Amino acid sequence: MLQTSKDLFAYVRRYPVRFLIGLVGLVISAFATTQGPRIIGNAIDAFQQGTMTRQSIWLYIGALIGVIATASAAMIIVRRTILNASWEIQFDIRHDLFDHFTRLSTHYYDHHRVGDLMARLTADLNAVRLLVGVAVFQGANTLLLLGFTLYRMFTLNVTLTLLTLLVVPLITVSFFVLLRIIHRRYQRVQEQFSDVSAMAQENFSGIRVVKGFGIEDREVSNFKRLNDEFIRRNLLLTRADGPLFPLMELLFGVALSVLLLVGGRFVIGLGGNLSVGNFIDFVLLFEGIQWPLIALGWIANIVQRGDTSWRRLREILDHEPAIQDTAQTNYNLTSIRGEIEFENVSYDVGDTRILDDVSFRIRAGETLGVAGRTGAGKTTLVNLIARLVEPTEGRILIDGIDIRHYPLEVLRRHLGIVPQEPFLFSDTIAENIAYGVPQGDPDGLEHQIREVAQLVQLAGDVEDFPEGYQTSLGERGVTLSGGQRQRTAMARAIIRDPAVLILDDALSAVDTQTEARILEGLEQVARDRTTLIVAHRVSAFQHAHRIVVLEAGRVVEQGSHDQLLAADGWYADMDRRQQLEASLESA
Amino acid sequence: MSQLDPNRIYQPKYPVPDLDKPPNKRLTDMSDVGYDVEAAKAKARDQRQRRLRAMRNEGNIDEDGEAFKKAFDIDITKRLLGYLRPYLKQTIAAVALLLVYSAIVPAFPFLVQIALDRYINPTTETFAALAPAARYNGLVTLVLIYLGLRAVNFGLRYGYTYLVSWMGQHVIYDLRKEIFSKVQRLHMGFFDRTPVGRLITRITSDVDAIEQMMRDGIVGLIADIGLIIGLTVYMFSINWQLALITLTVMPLLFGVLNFLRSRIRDAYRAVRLRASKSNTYLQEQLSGIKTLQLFNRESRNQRRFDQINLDLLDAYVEQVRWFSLFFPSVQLIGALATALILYYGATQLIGADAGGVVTIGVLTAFLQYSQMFFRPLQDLSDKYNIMQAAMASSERIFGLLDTPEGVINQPEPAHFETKFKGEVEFDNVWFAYQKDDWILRDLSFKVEPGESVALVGHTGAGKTTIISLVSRFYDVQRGAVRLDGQDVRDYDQVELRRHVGIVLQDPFLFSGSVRSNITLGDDSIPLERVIEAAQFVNAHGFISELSEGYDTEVLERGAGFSTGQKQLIAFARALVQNPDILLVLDEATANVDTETEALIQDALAKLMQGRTSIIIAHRLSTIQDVDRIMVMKKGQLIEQGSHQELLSQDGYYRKLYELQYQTRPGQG
Repeated sequence: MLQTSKDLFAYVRRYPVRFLIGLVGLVISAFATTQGPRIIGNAIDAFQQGTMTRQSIWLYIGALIGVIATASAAMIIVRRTILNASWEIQFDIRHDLFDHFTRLSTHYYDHHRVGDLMARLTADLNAVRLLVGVAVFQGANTLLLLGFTLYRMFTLNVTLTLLTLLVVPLITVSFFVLLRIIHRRYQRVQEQFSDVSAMAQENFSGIRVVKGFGIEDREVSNFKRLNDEFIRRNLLLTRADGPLFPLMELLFGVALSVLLLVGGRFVIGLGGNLSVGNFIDFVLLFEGIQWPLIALGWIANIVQRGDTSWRRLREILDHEPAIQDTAQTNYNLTSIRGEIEFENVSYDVGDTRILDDVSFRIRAGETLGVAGRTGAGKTTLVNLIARLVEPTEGRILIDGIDIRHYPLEVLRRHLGIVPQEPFLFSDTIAENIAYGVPQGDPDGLEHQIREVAQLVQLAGDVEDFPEGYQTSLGERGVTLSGGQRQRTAMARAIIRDPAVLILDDALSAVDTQTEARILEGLEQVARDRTTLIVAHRVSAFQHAHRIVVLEAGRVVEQGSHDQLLAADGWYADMDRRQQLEASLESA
Repeated sequence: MSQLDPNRIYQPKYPVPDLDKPPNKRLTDMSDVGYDVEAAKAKARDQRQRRLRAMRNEGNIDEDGEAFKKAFDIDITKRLLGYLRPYLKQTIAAVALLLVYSAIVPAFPFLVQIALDRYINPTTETFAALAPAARYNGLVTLVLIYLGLRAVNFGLRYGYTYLVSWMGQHVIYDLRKEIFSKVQRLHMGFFDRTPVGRLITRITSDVDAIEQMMRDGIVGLIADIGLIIGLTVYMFSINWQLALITLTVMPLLFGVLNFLRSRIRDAYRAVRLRASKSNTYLQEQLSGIKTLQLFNRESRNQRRFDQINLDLLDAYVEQVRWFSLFFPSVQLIGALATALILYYGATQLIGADAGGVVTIGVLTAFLQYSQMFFRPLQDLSDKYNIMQAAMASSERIFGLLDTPEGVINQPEPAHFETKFKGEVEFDNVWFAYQKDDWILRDLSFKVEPGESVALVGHTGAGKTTIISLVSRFYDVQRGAVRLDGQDVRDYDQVELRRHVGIVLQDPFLFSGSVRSNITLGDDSIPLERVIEAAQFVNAHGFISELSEGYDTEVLERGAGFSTGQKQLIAFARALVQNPDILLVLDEATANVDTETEALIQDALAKLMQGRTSIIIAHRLSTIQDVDRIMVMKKGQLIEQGSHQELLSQDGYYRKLYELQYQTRPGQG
């Protein structure tokens, strides 16, 4: 808890002026608020004693409006300073989290679902924001108000104050306890609710099985059973949160009864002495702290939850990125020619060896083909070059230097990677293509976008879209076919003018004729840069200088197209089958 | 092949910026080196006033881009109220308790007034004449009444809260069940078009919105109205002049609050819109984090994310700005009411010879009444928002409930004897999923009882469609599909499907145990039969090796099982129903190891024996085992016959066969 608040305080400290002004405002507001009942009480005593005149009543009214206006104005400032600061802090934490997210490596995301991370960023962040905003503001307000009120109550009558206060612990404690029970039961309701929605989700997704086997009725009765339990838990929750406010009402009623009895007795003149004005002053003061007393329990809950949530957020922020620049990084390395060498590289996932002692070399400007069946380790090879993962054994050299010595950004800046299942953003096509190039010179950029689109045979498709290159992708726009996605991704990589261009089975969803045209265009691009083509189809390797065949993580064949055909191994076999397929398609 | 120039040095088009920086600083910032978040925040702060003004009209649409619905629609409301009918008694009881409660609440200040004016500070001769002890005794009696009423109100409030919650729960229970059952009956074409997420929203948040309306909206409104009436009656009966004076500030309060409300609501909508934008952006970035990193977009996307969040911050600030005025305004107008009451009281009390209509007790009571009167007015527009959300949700739910079911039963479905003989006939069938995009074109064929048929052909040839039509997942546009000579549309569809076993391409596993995945929750199937079926399809081996055998829990979507194992479970699932006709969408997966592959082939062969079977085959052995192969191309049957017959024809099938099924040289 202490550690937590210390970490969080670093954020709070960025807004010293606002929190300071806020606290001063709270003191003023709380003090002014407790003066209201006093003025009313004094006015009533003046009536009682007959000293009130038509002139002096204005004094009381003026004073009353004055203190309430002061309290109100102060409260407006308090809310605007402290609450706005808490929103700013939320912004700051969100900024820091995003910054950290961009640094965390692939490994982290393999083990954390996006849905969970999103939940942290919404629910947990909100809980923390409530802690630094509402809890600070309401907490300070409550304590100050209670302090001033108690001071005034004791000044009015010690016995009466002590007797009334007997009920107070009961209120705060019962509220806190009830809130805890409610919270627990609420969680049980939520658990059941996720079961209900999970069942619906499963049923709707597996509707083909449900209908195919004619088990609709059974599903309905299962769903009903889950809902029966849901209703049961909900009513259990109602039994706890239903009495919450009625109980508060009752307890305050009890406190007020004590006040009436004892206070009334004093005013009557039995066992004590109290003016009727002071008595009403006292009653009004007590009414003023009803909400703050309840709020204490509520604030304690916010603090508790905010603390837990902040711990969870810290977990993310404290997670060291597995791959980042280190002391080894040489910041004088700013460019890459494109020679790549794998030196006895092995890569394990858990106990499974994905790549096993792989060695090969691509000279700068050369085109290398990588063949092999699914699961042979081709994509791992690509990920290793981009340093998305690090080899378990061996090393990778670029231009003769270990890639770990390159600044991560320099390395990636010079790569153009086209993945098999490209991720496109819900943005315009132009934005997606120009994703990896610096802004500036929009006209030149537009020209380049058209050029690469032409090159990857995408231009024709784009012309058919409603708004050409400004057409949005995704939910609110057009949905691209697999082939179109791949071609967009290819344009995105080529427009970067990378030193190393990597196509990771990037043409799998493109038909053969388009593939041929793309490869033709690609030859121009590949001519003056290192190119790595990972593919299933032999036709993709027609311009490759050399081809590496992977099987179960090992290099099993290596050589030029003609050499491999002559070797009559896996590659030659694949070539034969694909020739046949081509003839079948044309049939 | 291009000639390689070994001396070529790559010249990047985009220069790399200054790199002389410590580790972990953003380097090649894609021309974004100078980005400073504090500066961006400061700038946003400076321009905030202008931006806030621009924001004001933004909130007229919701997150889905739809205009906001009105808060009250007579047809929807009527239909919604219909759901309360089964709980009429509870509803009446709840409203009755509520009204009694509202009638008692204003009694408390009244009791305090009596306590003050009679016993504590007597204003009339009669009470002033009493001895202090007698007055105290009177006070005790009054306080006991006060406490008693408090206890009664505790019971009343708890009672109606519980009843209302009970009602709300039951209404949404009924609604959920109705939606779920409706979804079960909808035709397959509906699911092809509708994302699952949308259906989930109907059954979760839309239903919740209605529950909230039942609980807080309608009942809250009744409670507020009851309280306002009760207060008015008490106030006027105590002192009508003071009552009128107290009521004079109400229009002011109402006006000010309404103004603030509309501003807060606009800001709140902007908050929702912008928060959802921020979350959508973040979600997308996290999903595509690899692309982001590979293309060095860290800084630029950070800047964009910050910009989105600065816009969101604007909306929050706007919300705080109006919200911060809310309670202080109430407080200030409250002070105004107090001042008016005091002033009027003063004019009455000063020179009290007028007869003392206004006493100190009356003054105190009115100070409290004015506060109590404020409360319902404060949250009136919360209720408006709740109603509005509920109307929109109801409209969406009713839209779903009113969707035509598509594939429907005849009024009197044809009956068949306990089993189908198993004759399947396609008679000049034309079928399209979408208008005129014909998948099957005038297709006719017949499968004899007990015959096994394999469908082969390229993707899109119409194989899957044939299988879907036998199960009557869709209705044909022209022609007819017949089982045992009777149109499938004449049978009860659920009964039909119970006799047609289907193995889907994606062997969907439900959460639950392995056993319940095989029986699909039919507890009448004994374990022995489950084991028997599993043994028959070669699934018993791996299942019995699981930690808890058939009772092993299946994780989300069958994670932990290999594709091959899931397929074997799907086989067992089909077999345990002992279907008369078997349909198999066989997935040729590259991810199945050779051992499991052999098990699957063997199981499939056994399943087909002596049973009408239509199989989409990808495996050579399956194809060789069937009685007949039908070769499909573009929705038509182009070749059929046995494996050997087709091979000897040297047609389309032969090429297909050589491509897909020929074993590689060197691997035997």
